[in-house]
Amino acid sequence: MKYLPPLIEQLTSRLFNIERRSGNSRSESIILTGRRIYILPTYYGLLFAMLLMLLLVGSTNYNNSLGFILTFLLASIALVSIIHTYRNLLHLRVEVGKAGAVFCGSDATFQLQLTKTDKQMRYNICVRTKGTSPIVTTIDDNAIATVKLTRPATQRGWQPLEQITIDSVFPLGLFRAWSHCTLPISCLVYPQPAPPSPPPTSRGGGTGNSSTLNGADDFIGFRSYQPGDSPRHVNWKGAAHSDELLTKRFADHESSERWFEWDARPDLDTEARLSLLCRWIIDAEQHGNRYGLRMPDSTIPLGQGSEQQHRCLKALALFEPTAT
Amino acid sequence: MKRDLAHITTSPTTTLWLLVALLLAFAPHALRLPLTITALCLLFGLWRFNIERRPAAKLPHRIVRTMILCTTLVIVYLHYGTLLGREAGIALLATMLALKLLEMRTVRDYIVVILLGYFLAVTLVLYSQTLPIAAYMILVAFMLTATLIHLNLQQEKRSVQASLRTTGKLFIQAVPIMLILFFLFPRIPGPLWSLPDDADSGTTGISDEMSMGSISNLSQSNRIAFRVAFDEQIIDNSLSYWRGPVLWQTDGKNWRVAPAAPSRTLSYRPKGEPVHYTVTLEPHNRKWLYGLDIPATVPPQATINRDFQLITQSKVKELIRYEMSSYSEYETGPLTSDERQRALQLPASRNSRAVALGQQWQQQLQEPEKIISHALQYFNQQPFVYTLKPPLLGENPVDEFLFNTQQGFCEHYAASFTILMRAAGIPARIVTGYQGGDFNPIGNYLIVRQRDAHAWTEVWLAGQGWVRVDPTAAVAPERIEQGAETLFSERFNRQSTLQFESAFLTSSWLRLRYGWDSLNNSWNQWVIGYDTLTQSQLLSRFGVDSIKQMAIIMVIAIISALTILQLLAMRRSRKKQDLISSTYQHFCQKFSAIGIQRHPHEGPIDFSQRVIAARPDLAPQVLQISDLYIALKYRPRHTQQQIKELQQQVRRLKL
Repeated sequence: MKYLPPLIEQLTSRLFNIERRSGNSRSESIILTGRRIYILPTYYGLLFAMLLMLLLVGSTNYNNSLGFILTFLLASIALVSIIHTYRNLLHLRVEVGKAGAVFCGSDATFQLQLTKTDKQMRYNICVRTKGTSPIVTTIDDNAIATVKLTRPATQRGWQPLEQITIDSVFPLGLFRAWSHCTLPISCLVYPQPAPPSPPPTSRGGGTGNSSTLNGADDFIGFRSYQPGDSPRHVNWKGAAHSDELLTKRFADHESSERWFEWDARPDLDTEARLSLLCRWIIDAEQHGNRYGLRMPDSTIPLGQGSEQQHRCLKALALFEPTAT
Repeated sequence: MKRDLAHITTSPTTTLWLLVALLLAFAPHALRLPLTITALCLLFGLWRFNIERRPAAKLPHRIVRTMILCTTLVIVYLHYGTLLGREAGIALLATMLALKLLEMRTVRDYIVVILLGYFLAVTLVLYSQTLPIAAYMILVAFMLTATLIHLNLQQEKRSVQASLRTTGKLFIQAVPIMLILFFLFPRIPGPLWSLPDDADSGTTGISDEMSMGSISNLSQSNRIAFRVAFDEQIIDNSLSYWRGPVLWQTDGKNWRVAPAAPSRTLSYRPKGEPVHYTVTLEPHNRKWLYGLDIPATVPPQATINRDFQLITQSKVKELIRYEMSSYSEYETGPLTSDERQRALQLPASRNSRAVALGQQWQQQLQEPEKIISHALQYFNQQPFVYTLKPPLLGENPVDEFLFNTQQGFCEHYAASFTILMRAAGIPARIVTGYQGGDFNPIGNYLIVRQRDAHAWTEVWLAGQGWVRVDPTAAVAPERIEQGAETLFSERFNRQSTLQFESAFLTSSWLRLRYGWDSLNNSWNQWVIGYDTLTQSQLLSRFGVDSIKQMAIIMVIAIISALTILQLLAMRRSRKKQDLISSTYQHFCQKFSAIGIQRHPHEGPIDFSQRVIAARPDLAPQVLQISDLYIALKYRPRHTQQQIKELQQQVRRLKL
């Protein structure tokens, strides 16, 4: 019983080849048209059908016209609810929203926007991807609802959003209408930061200094927490009072410039090296250093700030080791 | 598949709604069920209500619930001696439903309770199928559906209003399909299996036994026995005798029908033209139908016996409709010796004074006709009183009635008259049934109520056969001419006219009553009386003969109804939306001509900001247009005027 809808779904998609066509669409917004929406009874729909059968048999047995009336009324309501469920999804526009950048090991987030193209309220719309808990939303007179889907980020690089399912059982829960969409939205996954480790001794062109992290750093203020920040630097006391998580920023005495090099640790394998570089970049940013990155295929000049950090981490995330 | 509703959560408001809906479904049963069981159900409901009010409170433990379950089952069993059958079944359903409230936690539980609630709602109609009960049942179904919808709303945005509105929409849209199903769904003649003995709410009306006082009991009841629509002219009140059981056997106190006489074809010579009419008979749980004296045709549900009584195969358990015709003048054939013997049977030990009086008349008058008219004169001239509340009679009821109390109702007169006739050697029997009825001028039909129940005598005369003689008419001729209602409500009428309110009030009250009954009559004919037979009759009129055809037409009708519904709903929003969208597109095209393209995913606000950044000179117009567009597109209410304004604004925009 549990496998029935997927089976039928597969069958219909094979038959009409609808799924493939929609799957290939790379448009940033999809409108759920009639052909994209499937509808089948739920478990409770089947239970309801059983109830109707019982009522029908009972009414026939007692030859009770009012019994027939209630039976047929309930049956008609169930039938009409098919239209309501279907229309709850129909002509819904699903649009690509923002997808942030996250570190490997945390959750990749994808924002989608659901817009209704008519005045009809959309109740209890459920958006999900494989293996995630569904996100429920109602699209009321504001016409737009933003849905944030999260998936565990397991591999650095671009993580595309898998096929999503938008479904609804409103109003009675007896029928489920659903539609699958594949949207061109990807979340950038940075490498997983290595555990805190001393930064590299400067080499080459770097005007390095080797002061240690836990040296006499000066606290210079707060900035909002970013994934990857060391828990030691999070302002936990402050977190108790406000919603926002803040990270303490420290400046080295000798605020300086650093170059992080791919070749700094040739003893490690590619992923470990990337993780380590990632850690260094985060720490450098946290300490207010100016830093640059030298990779085999590219060089990012010295800079500072979140933009610089993103540029560096993106280069790490998308790094593809060549034959060397 | 249970995961389909996995994201749905429950909330206290839903529970309260559910409790109210269930209370509504239960209320009519509350009085009917034994006190213990009603109390148990209410207790469980209150318990749950209390739990819901205090967030800290917990549902009872599994062991406690199991114990309660067992106790409840035992209580129901002890009360009924069974767990099956209608009464016990309803008690079981109600208690189990109430008990389920104590373990209702997951969405699944809620839905199961709602489904059981629908079941409880349908049990309401096992007792009565009147219009008010139907309305009440639909109200209960409405409340349960509203609860189900409330459950299916997103938790943070649940509103009672939204669920009621959606339920209303569903119900209204469901009506056409319900009608299609009701009239076209092929009905299988029930019952599918033999019904338990308690399936009927009890017998009403005239029985196949009569004793002094049994019919006067009925005369207090305004319940409707049947309704009659005449094809041509309504029959005169003094002729409208509705024939029921014919009583032969007596022990001097009680009267009984004879052991079933074999049925045969009608053998009598009718005089005059038959009267055609249609009877809608309320269920009375007896195996006979009523027809005017005496039936000329036999409806398909029945056969006729030697007593000219219409006998059905099974008890009349639901309302039925049948067409009939009758002759009011007729001549029946000779009497068999067996019949003569039974029609002269007298108990030896009782009513000796009455028997002596009859024998005395026979010796004095000889001729049956003379004896009969003498007896009628006797009733007319002696101080007999026609009353609804006759005094109780003892072991020799006819003697006591004739010579002491002299107060009685129709059965007293009929029984005494029959005893006197038999004593005088004239074959006689009692016929029970109804007499008269009120004419409903609004629906143009006759209403026959239980208070119109009547008993009269038939005597057998050579050359004429069985002849109806109504001794009550000798005592209270107005009973026969005007009917029981006018006779016994006369006092009431006189009082109310004495008070200063006019006849207008009385007549409008009457009109209201007749209107209401007329509505009930149509309800009975078209809804309650709509069964397998009526269905096939109705549909064959349209050329639909087989169940297969019926089913095909039904499916086509339902699919078309759903399609129309879908198209209507789509069109309503689509038509206006098309106009609004195309106007806005026109607006966008104007800007794309000067190099500002709207991106497909760009919202109207973002686009307008970009446009204003590029062309600050157009800011007020652009803002106005995009505000108007947003309002039209996404707010629920807008007017035709606003759409026109948008069109004008866009037209006027010059770049």
